[in-house]
Amino acid sequence: MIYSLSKEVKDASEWDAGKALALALRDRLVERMIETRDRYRKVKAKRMYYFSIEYLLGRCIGNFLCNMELLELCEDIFKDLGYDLDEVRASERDPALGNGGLGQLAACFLDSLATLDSPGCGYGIHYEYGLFRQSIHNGYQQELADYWMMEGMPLQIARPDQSVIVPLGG
Amino acid sequence: MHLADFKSYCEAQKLIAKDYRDRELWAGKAILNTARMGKFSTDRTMREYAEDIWNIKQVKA
Repeated sequence: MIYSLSKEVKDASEWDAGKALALALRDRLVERMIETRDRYRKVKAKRMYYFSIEYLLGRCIGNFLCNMELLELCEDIFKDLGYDLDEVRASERDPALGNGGLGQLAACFLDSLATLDSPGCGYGIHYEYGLFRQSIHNGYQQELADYWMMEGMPLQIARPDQSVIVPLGG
Repeated sequence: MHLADFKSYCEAQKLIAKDYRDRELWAGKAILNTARMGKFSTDRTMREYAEDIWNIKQVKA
């Protein structure tokens, strides 16, 4: 938290703690990702690339903690630091990359692929804004822009060096 | 492609409309349809797609 966010624990908000946790988790995930990639490369495994216009991932921190069997350990650490891990987890914004069944299925498919050690990955669209944020005023819906990345999304890694031009043929 | 199936689609819709008017028959079909629903698992779906369609193999750690 001190070096990545230049904040001390005494000044940190719930989401500051969430960001620090996400960065620590990301380091461990990247190690595993590289290990997996090497394993697939070594046997020249055939890979499946899943294209979807939506991925409804949901909040990721809790999911990762569970999958990496770090939930109980983190609960204790955060308690010692004076945080409620549930509140820290709730402070994460839902990535606005999916809305309904299609995105939910795409996210579940990728989860299952990883569980089964099946080589593949998903490609999608990195929407800057979600569909919209709904609020109700006097019984009527009002739509607001869903700028989901405004408070930072530390789990993402941008790779502009690997960008390509995608032509749209007509 | 859409038009190739359209005629048989319309005929099936007519049969559905006929059954729908028979309340008892329709209720029976609806109950059986629900009862025969399988459990959905994306783990199973991915395993089947990997084997039958994509032909990708698991690479265990």
